[in-house]
Amino acid sequence: MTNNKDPNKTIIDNFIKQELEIKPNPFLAAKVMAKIVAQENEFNREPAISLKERKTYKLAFNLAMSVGAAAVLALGVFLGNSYTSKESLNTQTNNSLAINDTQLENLHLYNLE
Amino acid sequence: MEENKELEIISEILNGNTEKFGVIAEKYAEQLFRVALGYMHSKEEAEDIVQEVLIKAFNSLNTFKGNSKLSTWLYRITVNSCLNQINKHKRTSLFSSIEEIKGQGLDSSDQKNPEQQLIEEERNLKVRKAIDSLPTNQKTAFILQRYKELSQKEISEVMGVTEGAVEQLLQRGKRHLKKRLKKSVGKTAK
Repeated sequence: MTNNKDPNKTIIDNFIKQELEIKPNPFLAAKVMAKIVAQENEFNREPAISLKERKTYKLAFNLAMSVGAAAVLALGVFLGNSYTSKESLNTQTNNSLAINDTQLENLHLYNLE
Repeated sequence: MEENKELEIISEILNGNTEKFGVIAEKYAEQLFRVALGYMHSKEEAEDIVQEVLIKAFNSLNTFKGNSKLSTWLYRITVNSCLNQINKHKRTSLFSSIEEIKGQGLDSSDQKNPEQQLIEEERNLKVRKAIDSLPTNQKTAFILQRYKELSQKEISEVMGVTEGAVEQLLQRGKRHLKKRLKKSVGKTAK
């Protein structure tokens, strides 16, 4: 009887046999449990601030921001109004003199020969 | 461990006794590792897969109805996780696969000279590529049979197909490997 052993089958068998000799880390299960326990602790952990307190803080913050913005606006309007009311009609003339374009740029100086 | 005992442990875990899952993890870690090794051919990746599978199993333990064995359910999750990981790695080049072969101690260099070692490493790489080239279902059936020594019945339960289909997949897988290896190993022999 001839030996019909397939060489390819032998090669595959040897390869698989070598791979199966590789053993996993003996602490693999322990590592998994550590991750699971950490996951459970994270899930069960109580928050430092309760939900009610968190909502209160958020409301107070929004209120403070609104009041601050209103105060800044009011201050700006007040300052603008006080500047306008102090200035008299006299300055209007000064202003008009001040905006005499021909006085701004003495172009004839550049054209002197 | 009997199935009934496993079901008892599962219900204890679901009632809040998390530590009991350690019993399941201890029992199945190595078995799942072998299956993952068949796909990944890398110790580190196989261990990562096993961790991922066991954590997934813990998180979805409430979905395990007990219609199949716990082992069947775990193998199924392992197979899916491995296939997902392979799909992610599809862009991995040949260079990194050579590094993995060299790194995982398949050279078994007890008493072989460097030339023999190199020849064996090349041969192992060709076998590995031949296994990786199998179509998904054939590869799954092949790995479950050769790496886990499951019966055709058990393989059919894991894959959700009939035993006849499993037999066909195994036969086709063998033919595919033979054909593939004839080409590549035959060239090396010459």
